[in-house]
Amino acid sequence: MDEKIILLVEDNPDDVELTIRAFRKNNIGNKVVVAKDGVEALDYLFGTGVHAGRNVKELPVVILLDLKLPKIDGLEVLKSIRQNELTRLLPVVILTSSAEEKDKTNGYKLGCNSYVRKPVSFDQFAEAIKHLGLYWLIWNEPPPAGSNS
Amino acid sequence: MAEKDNPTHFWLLERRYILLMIALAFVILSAVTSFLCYRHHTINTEKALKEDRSDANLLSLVLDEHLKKIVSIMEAYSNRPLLLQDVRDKNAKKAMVHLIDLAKTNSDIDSVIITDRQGTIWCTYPERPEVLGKNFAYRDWYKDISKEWKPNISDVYLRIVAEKDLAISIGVPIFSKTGEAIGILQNTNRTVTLGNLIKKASLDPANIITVTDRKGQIIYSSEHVNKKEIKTYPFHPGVKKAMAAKKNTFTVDAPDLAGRTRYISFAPMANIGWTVFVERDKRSIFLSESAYYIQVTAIAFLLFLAIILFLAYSRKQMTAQQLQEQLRAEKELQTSETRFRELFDNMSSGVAVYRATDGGADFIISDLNEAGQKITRVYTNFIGRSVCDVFPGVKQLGLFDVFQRVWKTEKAEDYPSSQYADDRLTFWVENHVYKLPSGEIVAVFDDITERKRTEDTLRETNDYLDKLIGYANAPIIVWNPQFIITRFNHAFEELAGWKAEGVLGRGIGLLFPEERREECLGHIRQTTGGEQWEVIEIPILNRDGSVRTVLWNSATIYSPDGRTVIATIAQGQDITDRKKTEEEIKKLNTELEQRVRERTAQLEASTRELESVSYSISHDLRAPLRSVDGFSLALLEEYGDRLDDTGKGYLGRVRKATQKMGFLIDDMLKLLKVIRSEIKLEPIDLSSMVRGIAETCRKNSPEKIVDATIQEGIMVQGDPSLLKMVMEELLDNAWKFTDNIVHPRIEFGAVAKDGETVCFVRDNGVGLDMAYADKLFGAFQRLHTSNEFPGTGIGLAMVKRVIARHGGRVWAEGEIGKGAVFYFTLP
Repeated sequence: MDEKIILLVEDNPDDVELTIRAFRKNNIGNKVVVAKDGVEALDYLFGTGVHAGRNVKELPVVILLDLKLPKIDGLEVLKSIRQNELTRLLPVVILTSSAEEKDKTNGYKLGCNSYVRKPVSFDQFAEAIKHLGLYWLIWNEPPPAGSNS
Repeated sequence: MAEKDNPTHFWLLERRYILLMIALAFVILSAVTSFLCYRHHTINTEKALKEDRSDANLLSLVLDEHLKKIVSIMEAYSNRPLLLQDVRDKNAKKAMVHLIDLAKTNSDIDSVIITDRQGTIWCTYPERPEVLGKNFAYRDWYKDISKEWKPNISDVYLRIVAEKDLAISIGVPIFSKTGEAIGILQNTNRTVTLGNLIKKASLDPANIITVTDRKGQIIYSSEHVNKKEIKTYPFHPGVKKAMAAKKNTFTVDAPDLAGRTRYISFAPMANIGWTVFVERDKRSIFLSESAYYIQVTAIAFLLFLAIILFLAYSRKQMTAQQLQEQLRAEKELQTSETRFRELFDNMSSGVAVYRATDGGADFIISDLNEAGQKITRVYTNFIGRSVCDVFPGVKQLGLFDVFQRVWKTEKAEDYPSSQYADDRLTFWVENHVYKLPSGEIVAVFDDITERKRTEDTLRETNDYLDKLIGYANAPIIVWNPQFIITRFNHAFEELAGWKAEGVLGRGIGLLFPEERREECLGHIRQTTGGEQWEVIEIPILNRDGSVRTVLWNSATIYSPDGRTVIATIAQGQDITDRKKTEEEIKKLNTELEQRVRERTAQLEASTRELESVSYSISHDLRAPLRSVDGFSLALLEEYGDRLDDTGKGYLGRVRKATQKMGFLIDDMLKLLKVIRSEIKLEPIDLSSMVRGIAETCRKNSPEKIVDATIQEGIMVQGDPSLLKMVMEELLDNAWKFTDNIVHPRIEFGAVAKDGETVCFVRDNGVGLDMAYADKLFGAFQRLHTSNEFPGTGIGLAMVKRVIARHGGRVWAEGEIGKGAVFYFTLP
């Protein structure tokens, strides 16, 4: 269980590819689990649906959450995460193209830990991913195990 | 105060009446006294006479008994056998013994004789030899006895022996055993003895007691003491008359008593024929009564005195009282006079008193009170002068005729308000004229000039009011507390289609439409409670059936007590037409509102669309760009070695284009935000904001040294986030366009111009071509190629939009190569 998993919730395969590439480029080799929509993200977290039977105790160290998602959008996902005892302390970083103030406000209201806007320039994007990875995987101390319950 | 009510009080009669009363009292008292005395006298006389009769009877009985006793004693002696024997024997010696015994044992018998049957005396005691042998047959007593040989008492006679005084004879016959008369035992009883007996009976000494014999000769009399001769009792003949009248008393006028009346009572002694008389002098009765008379008279006199004293005292009291009354009345009169004088002088009405002369041909002023003087302006020298002299206008006024009429008829008259005028003064006056019991004429008058003026003013005011109400354009109505219409002006006639004559005096209800009548009457009722309508809508039913909508206001009219409502006046405003217009406007407004709502909904829908568009732009447009850029870079990195320089150059262009498009998207989002967002005004320190932005610019290009001058303390009202965008744009531009200047200078400040604050951002950069100034603020307009200066061409459009939305203006001035100034105003 030493492996620190990153849950990336992103429907755009380009963005998924670019994000993972950014991690790799910055030598962040942690396992990145990708959920293509909100439902899949929640299934993964709560061991339901396609992820039925998964050990829900194995929680990702950080969730990178896009907002505009099919089926269940990002804010809904965040809401469910925060409402569930198991996941309510999980660090969630909203990673989105949206610069809407409404989205920022709602994101923070629902309890995201960080809000990062995806820059158009890949250089800048890669830079951002690099810092995110370093920060959440290395510098940030996750909440103690079992403190969720 | 009964005395006051009856001034001819009994006690206050004239002196002669009082005297008459005293005399009357005297007469009455005298009469009563006389009557009492007479009555007393009558009763007393009756009583005395009754006593007298009883005395006479008593005396007769006593005498009778006395004589009977003597007779029975003598009979007892005559029957003595021894004496009989001696008589028969004519033995004087022995018979003498019996005689002595008889005389000695009976004091009433002193001289006794015995005769024989023929009347010859043969034995005497005391012995009187001179008469022995003498025959007394001639004597009456012998004759009487010898008639029937019965005991006998004789009339009075004179004795022939001894004193030869008056005596009576009591004789009894002496019978032998055979019953033959053989002698007579005779006693000569001296009247003196009888008198002694009578004297023993203590009878009223005032009376005269007389005893007479059968012939009326006096045997004994307490008055007529006479021893030597026989007298006849003068009143004896009256007995027969009285007996005939069956009376035991009779009255005689005795000549020996100077003709005074004498009452004579008598008692006859039947068996011997004697009579006992009791005489009473009338005077003696009077004398006995004198004490009573004196008493009664004294009492009467005292009573009389008391009455006189009482009368005198009462009169004096009354007089004193009357005097006091008089004094008080005088005082009261004086007070009253003072009071009335005060009243007279202080009355607000004028009062004049006139005295008629020449049989009512003229009237002389005898008094005029202060108010009267003030009204007539006559203060001195009026008393005693003729009314026509002092008030020359009085005849013209007509008042003089009234004076004459009142003086003649004595009936009070009111002389109505009229104008008095003479050379001196003119005023309106009202008179009340009456006649005093003294014959004087009184005129009470008031100066009513002021009142008259007030009345005129009032009449004028009323006239104004009438005209005002009558010709007012607004309908005006007045009703009383019984909801009866009392006024109805011309405008109301027009409004309701009724003529005033048709509604005056009728209930107000007829003016309201049937279906709302109760509601309307409810409003009317409120007004009678004193409520006033500010503005109230009450419909009026026109006679043609149409209903007019009228706004009313009302006022309550109170009686002088300030509480009782006497009428309500209401003024209306026919708003039927206005109402119709209002309703139309209302309808139009409703339609408009509907339309606005629809538009708003549309607008909201488009805003929502805009939002989703901008969202899409920010989210969806950027993602492909990132992909393009990202994969371009990946291509360069991963496959760079397989591309020639031209290929690499192309990829570089792709990347540059994507970045440019990224900026474009960001600028478009800003513009959209400006369009979408609502402006929230708050005070902003622009100077401080500009300083912050300049700082950021410096950080972004640390190699560039810019001389930035920022004026302090520029405060404006505006939306902070929008204005920040504006200032950022302007500062960024200034920064950008001074890139190629040796000493770049940027200035922010504000100037007052035409009463408003104009802010500006000035630079010494490349400047502007004023020929294109109008295109400067259009979207996607650029004055410079993107090669010269980077930019999207949306920034200034956004600035104009923001300033415009704040209600301000923005413009630019400049010249190519000489820098540019961007001005903006914020209201």
